[in-house]
Amino acid sequence: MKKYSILLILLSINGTAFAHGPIFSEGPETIYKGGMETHIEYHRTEKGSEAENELSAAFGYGITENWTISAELPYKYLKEDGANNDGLGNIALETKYRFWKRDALGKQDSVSGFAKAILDTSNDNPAPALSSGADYYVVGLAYGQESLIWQRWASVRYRFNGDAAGLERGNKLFGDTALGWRSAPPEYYKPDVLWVLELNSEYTEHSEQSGISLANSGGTELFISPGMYWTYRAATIKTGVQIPFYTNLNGSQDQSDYRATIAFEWQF
Amino acid sequence: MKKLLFTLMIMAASTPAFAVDKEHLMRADGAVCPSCAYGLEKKFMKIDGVKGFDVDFKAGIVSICADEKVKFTEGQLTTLFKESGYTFKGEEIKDTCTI
Repeated sequence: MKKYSILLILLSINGTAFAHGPIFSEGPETIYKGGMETHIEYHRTEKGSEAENELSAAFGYGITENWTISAELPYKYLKEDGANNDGLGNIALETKYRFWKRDALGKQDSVSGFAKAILDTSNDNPAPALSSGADYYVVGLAYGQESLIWQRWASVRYRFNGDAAGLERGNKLFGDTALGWRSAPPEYYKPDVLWVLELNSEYTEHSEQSGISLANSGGTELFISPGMYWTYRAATIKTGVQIPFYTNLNGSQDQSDYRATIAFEWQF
Repeated sequence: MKKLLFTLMIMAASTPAFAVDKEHLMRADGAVCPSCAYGLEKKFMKIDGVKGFDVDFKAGIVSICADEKVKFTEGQLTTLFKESGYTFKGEEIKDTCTI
């Protein structure tokens, strides 16, 4: 069960985000038409006796100014109760479409829908495993209002967790809000620093085996997540940490201690 | 004759290089961050004759410095801004570049 819970955590934070948007959840931002963007991200999660380190590379392309496709491949190092494992994780493919946008002087509102498939490409078994033996699918909506000083974001995601080895894993619902702030309007040829504060909620349904609900599965976790962006034209460094402030997990499960991330993004 | 030739040479040499450049000031809605405007810079700098690019986010003005031969139609600018994720609102051309 622990093996699956590690994977669920990794999948939940494995968001492919580009340009300005929330750090731990999805924003509505897309890449300009014909634009390309790549990012390298390091992510660490600690939960009870488990620790996960993940280094992932992602690539995105703007088919149109409203439609972005991206792919992400992580390299993971897992440690659990003294045992460890490392290797390539599952590849994630994502598409995002911005279907509404309203521009004003120094302000932009937009809404996007997105879908993501996390495919069981690593097909890894030894505990702690890099793969769960199943695919995952995520669908969601993201809203954003960006202005010269304040940014506001909100999103909702639903993840269908694939079944494997007779285990029907409970699906997961994410609800996120975020606020961004910079001290003064940005200037094009000067570094831009944006501070972000997110509230992330995660609700997981009970898992089932042979039609029987598993007591030690599912529950709710809420996180407060401070972070920041540093950007200079095409280059962005972003970092943040997720700190749990409310946990209500069913039965006996390890609670999240923290999740931290740092990423470097480049447009070209 | 020598004096005339010398005068012509001095005049030719003293002609400022920027005299043929013009600054295009374009009003754009939706421009809110430098990293988001990078796509706009890339698209403009690909155009032959464009030499400089800047954005005044507070005023919502995208500026380019370009040879006087560079001219845009409203339709071209509308498309270029749209493909970069912004809304084009209008253009003004100045005789000298300040960027």
